[in-house]
Amino acid sequence: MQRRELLKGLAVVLGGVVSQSCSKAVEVPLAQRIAVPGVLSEEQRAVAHRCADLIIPATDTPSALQAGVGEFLDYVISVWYRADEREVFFAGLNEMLMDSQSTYGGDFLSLPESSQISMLKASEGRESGNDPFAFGDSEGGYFNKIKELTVTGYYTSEVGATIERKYVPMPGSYDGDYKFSEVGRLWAS
Amino acid sequence: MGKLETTQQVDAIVVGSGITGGWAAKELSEKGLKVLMLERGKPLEHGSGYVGEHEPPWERNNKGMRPRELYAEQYNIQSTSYAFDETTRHFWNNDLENPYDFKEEDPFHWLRADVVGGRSLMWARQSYRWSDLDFEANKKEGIGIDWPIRYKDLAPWYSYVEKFIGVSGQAMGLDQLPDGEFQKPMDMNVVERHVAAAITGKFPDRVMTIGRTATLTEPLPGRAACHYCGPCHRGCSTGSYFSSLSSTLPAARATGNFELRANALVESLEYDPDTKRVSAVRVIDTVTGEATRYSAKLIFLCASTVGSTQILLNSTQADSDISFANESGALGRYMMDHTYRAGARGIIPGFEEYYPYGNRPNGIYIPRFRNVNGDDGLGFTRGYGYQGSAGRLSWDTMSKVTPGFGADFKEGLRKPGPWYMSLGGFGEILPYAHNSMALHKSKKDRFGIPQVTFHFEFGENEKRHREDVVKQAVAMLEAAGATRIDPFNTEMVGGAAIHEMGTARMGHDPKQAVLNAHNQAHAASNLFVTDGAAMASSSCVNPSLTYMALTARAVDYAVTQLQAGAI
Repeated sequence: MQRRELLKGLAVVLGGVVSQSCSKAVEVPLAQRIAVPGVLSEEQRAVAHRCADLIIPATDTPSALQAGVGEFLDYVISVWYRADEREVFFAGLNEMLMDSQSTYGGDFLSLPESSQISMLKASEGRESGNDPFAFGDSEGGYFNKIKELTVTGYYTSEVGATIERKYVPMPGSYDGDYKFSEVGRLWAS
Repeated sequence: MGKLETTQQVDAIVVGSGITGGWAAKELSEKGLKVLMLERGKPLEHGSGYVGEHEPPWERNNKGMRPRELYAEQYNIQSTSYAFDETTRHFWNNDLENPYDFKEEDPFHWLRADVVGGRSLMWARQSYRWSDLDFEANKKEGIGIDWPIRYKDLAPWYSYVEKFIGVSGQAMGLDQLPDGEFQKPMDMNVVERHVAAAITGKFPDRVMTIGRTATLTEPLPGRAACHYCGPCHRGCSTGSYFSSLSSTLPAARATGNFELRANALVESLEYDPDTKRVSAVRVIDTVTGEATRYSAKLIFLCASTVGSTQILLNSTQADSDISFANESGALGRYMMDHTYRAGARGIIPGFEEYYPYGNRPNGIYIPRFRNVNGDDGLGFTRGYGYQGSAGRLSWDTMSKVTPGFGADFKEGLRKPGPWYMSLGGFGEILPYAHNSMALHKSKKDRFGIPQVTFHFEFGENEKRHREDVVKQAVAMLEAAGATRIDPFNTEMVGGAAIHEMGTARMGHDPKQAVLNAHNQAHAASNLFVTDGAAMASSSCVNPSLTYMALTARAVDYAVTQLQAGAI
């Protein structure tokens, strides 16, 4: 059971849930999400960005990077993360980079997409085990972190809210019997 | 000691601008008294003072800080509230600047506003009447002291308050949860109705209804019906939920009899033992540090439970460290809150064609069903009610329970996840003498005022009813066909429900109580305390509506007495 969302349901009237995840980082306005240079090397940054687009690629809607997730990643990793979170993130990222050399004999970024996907799958396999409910806000290694950051950055971006999802700023009413078929997407409000 | 201001034009001083202060100011000024309101917090304007209202989520405003470190350093207590974020931080107390004292092993969460409007800005708006089941309980059980009032004393004032604030809800005809003057109820969604029917089908003595909330479903003068945008706690410029800023303060201003002074911290009250009256209010300007004294015919303390009692405790006489208001020894004691964060949630299979539209600022309510007709023999007295809601899991949860990544993963998140139903209990805490607040002997705040120190523990009765809260929540979810039921019973912290009350209780006997049946101090005829401090027991329902009714009633009494020359 994923407590965060369930607690959010409760929080409507019960209140009191403070998420430790990066979800609070989305409260920082776009213009103020200024990454600190040098925390990520150019290669690390490029690989993290590539992974974001593997996680949410362009389909009939834009990809993660097209939605501005790259800037979100830079900001959270270099500014928002605590040192211990950054350490876990980089350890997993560097492990993947080394595996890229040892297994495929090349830089991650130069590999064909199918190999990049295989490597990211291997990264996922090292972490999540068989229980999909084992994911946690600040748990897991590189894969869980890059996935959480990508998903959070994407769905809370303007693209994620208005193109991937449906944003209705002023619903004007509540309808508890509304049909999903009438919207066909997630609400963004 | 500051200069004594000329006060001929001030008939009444109201300390605090929150839910009860707003009501005191409205009622006093509408009765023709010249009112001065003193608010410790910063100024705030209705509408323009609200941050992020109706802003799209991708452009959320804040002040560019790094909130995680800032929260840990300066808002470690306040940031535990669901209503604390970058859009509301300016409403809340800065914990670093305004410390209080408690022991690590005995924590107390003092959630505290620091702005005009007080916690009426970010309250959860649930509005329920007490019943005689509540008012008679202390006397019947010999716990605490008897309430000096009964439901019939407060009923007309509940009506009076409800009509002005606007409460939407469903009349149910229950003795333990009296109906009020309701606007049309908000809807329960399809799954909530399913769960409600299943609960009553299995447990005929239990009902589930839509929450009764001070959020408008029909317009009132100067206030629009709710537009269901969602984040109420940021403030509502259309006044669709009741707050001091949207409702009572404008009414007070309209009389021409009302003046508000923000950044005005009340340090203590001066007492004249010969006349048995409060002779002056000592005020410190929180910006300039300047000290001032005001006097008035009537003083209404509406500074919140802890705030008002801190002022009273700090109001000692020249040759004593005992407050003039503490002849009973009850001042600062018998503090209560509600138990919460116990209950259960689960997945409700089916109903996948439904996906509610709009952000309903309200949930469901299951009124108390324990010990309603005598002692149920469950090993605890009094009872609890549930709040909660049903909804569908969304991308933030589903992304974590959906393995993999890529186009299929993205496509899979386009549909909402399964329905969940959550039930969380709010339970009555008994009045214990040892649950208390006092002034620290040496620690002082930045204004030189002794810090509040807390001691709060939960008793056997609370532990036992919480076990039942969890057990019955599971049983009701099972009756509704829920799967993956997840019971929860998290560690209790005093004050965390933000329903702290007691510490200056009402009662007939000045040897046992601080206030009489009209919220008038036994020790001072011109002093009234009408916030949560006055409570002699806690019921299990959300308390704010009762505070408002007590306030309106107390003003009516005070002005009548003043005009009769009895004050």
